[in-house]
Amino acid sequence: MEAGALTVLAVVRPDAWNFPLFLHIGGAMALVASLVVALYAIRVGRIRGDQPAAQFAFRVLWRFTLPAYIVMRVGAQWIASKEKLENSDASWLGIGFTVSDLGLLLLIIGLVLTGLMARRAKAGTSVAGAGQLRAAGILAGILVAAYLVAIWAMTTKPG
Amino acid sequence: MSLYETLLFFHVLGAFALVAGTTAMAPFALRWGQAALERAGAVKLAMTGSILSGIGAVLTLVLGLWLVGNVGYAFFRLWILAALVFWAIAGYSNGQISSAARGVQKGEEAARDLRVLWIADALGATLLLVLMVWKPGH
Repeated sequence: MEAGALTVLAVVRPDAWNFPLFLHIGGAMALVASLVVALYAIRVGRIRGDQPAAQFAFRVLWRFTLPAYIVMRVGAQWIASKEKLENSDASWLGIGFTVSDLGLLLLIIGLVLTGLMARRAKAGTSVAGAGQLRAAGILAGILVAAYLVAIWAMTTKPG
Repeated sequence: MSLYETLLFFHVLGAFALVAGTTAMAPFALRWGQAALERAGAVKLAMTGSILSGIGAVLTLVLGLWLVGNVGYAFFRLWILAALVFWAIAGYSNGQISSAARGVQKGEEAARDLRVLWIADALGATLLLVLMVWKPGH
């Protein structure tokens, strides 16, 4: 009976919800994927400390992670509006929006830190072992962990 | 968590791992960021990507088929059969890029054009997501 109800639920999702949902999930996948690459790039930047490595770490966050975040967030807002969930106090939705909004703050801090290090490396100063890159790496790690919690909340919908 | 929720969570997690793995292979396959990562760094990242995509491939396939049974979907539907085809394309491309990365790690040079394989891989993963969302022929 439960299986039957779930089948019906899947069938009755209006077609108009599909594109925003695709944007949201696709953006979230690209976001997590780019953060995995960023984690590695930041680590390489911290070990090598030269301009190409530091700039690569910044570019991954700037050109891939931030746009992916925007696509994910726009998709989230769009699908929430389609489902009339903007004013919902469901905990899974609260977890999603909290992770997303705090995640943006952490992402911006990470971007500023790697951007400053890329600029310093471009000026010829080595950024090997820089605390700023270490902090950016930790922030990227926290973001990946937080997004795993968000995936759990979005799929199991607690509350 | 119900069985359905548990299966769905790990199935979706597998899809995220698959995409993360494919993305991690990009610098090696597309020769992107060579000045920053150097060939050895790109190979190391690609090997991490192959582990992620391997885990993701198993989770998406096994739990996806389990979900089909759990929810009561008919197996012989366009979206399910097409998803299996795209999964196979992505899996094959991932495997080829991984084996090229292993070869480079041993000192061999990659003979094949990995760009085409990577594009097939990324396209396969994107079309998989399209099928999972729209479920054509459901």
